[in-house]
Amino acid sequence: MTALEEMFFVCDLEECDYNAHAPGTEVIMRVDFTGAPSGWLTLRAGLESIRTLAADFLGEDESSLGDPEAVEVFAELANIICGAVLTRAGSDRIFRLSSPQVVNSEGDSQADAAYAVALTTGPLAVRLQTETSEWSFDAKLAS
Amino acid sequence: MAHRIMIVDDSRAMRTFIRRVIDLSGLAVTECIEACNGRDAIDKLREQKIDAVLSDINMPEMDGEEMLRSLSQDEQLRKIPVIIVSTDASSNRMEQMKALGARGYLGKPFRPEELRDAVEESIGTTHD
Repeated sequence: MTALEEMFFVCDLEECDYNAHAPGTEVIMRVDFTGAPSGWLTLRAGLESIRTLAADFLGEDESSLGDPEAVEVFAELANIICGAVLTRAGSDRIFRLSSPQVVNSEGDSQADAAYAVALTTGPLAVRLQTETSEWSFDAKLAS
Repeated sequence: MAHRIMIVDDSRAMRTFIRRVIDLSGLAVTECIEACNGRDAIDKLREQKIDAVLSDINMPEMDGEEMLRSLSQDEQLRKIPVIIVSTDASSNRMEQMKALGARGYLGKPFRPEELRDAVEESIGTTHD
């Protein structure tokens, strides 16, 4: 994922099973978007991975970061990935993205696209769903 | 020539990240001033000399669009180049922001050199 490489300084990412889960606590961040079409994107990762990503993003020592700061950075990542996916899928369309929110579930219905990469401490899973399924999203659009 | 840059974003994490990227980019900067929304930015721009503004669009109280409109109506502040830094890199959005007065547009994700080039282009300098 370009966002991870360019802004979180994470390299050599490999795709992994979307249904795999990180050990311990996982956080699911959801970004709703309105436009044509409207929908939402979720980003899921283990808290340990989120702390590591946040430290890389901020250039700070992992031990100095609290969970709220790490989750704030995870929200930024969700926002960046959502914007990048929508831009690549339709560069002439205007979308409005809502503020990312921590949610309990990724949703039960069929996703338009789902993709995961392996971080050192578990998967980072991206799922995108639109209200109309108007577009056929490439699962790797987040790449 | 070293510059004074303002970073406008409601996310403290994003402001910290942009500071970090400015350091990594090789851009000659003497000071980074932070603002948490468009209103805060305009207040601070009236108080001090800033060479360029890097601003998000979606922010509470006053967003990037409204900030650009306000700046364009101010005889002094309209001269300060504003570069929009946004997750929304759609061509329509870019055109919309440039029509409102944005001098540059940087879509996230971006590399340090892209930020440096956008700032230098907006100010009218080049990197050695």
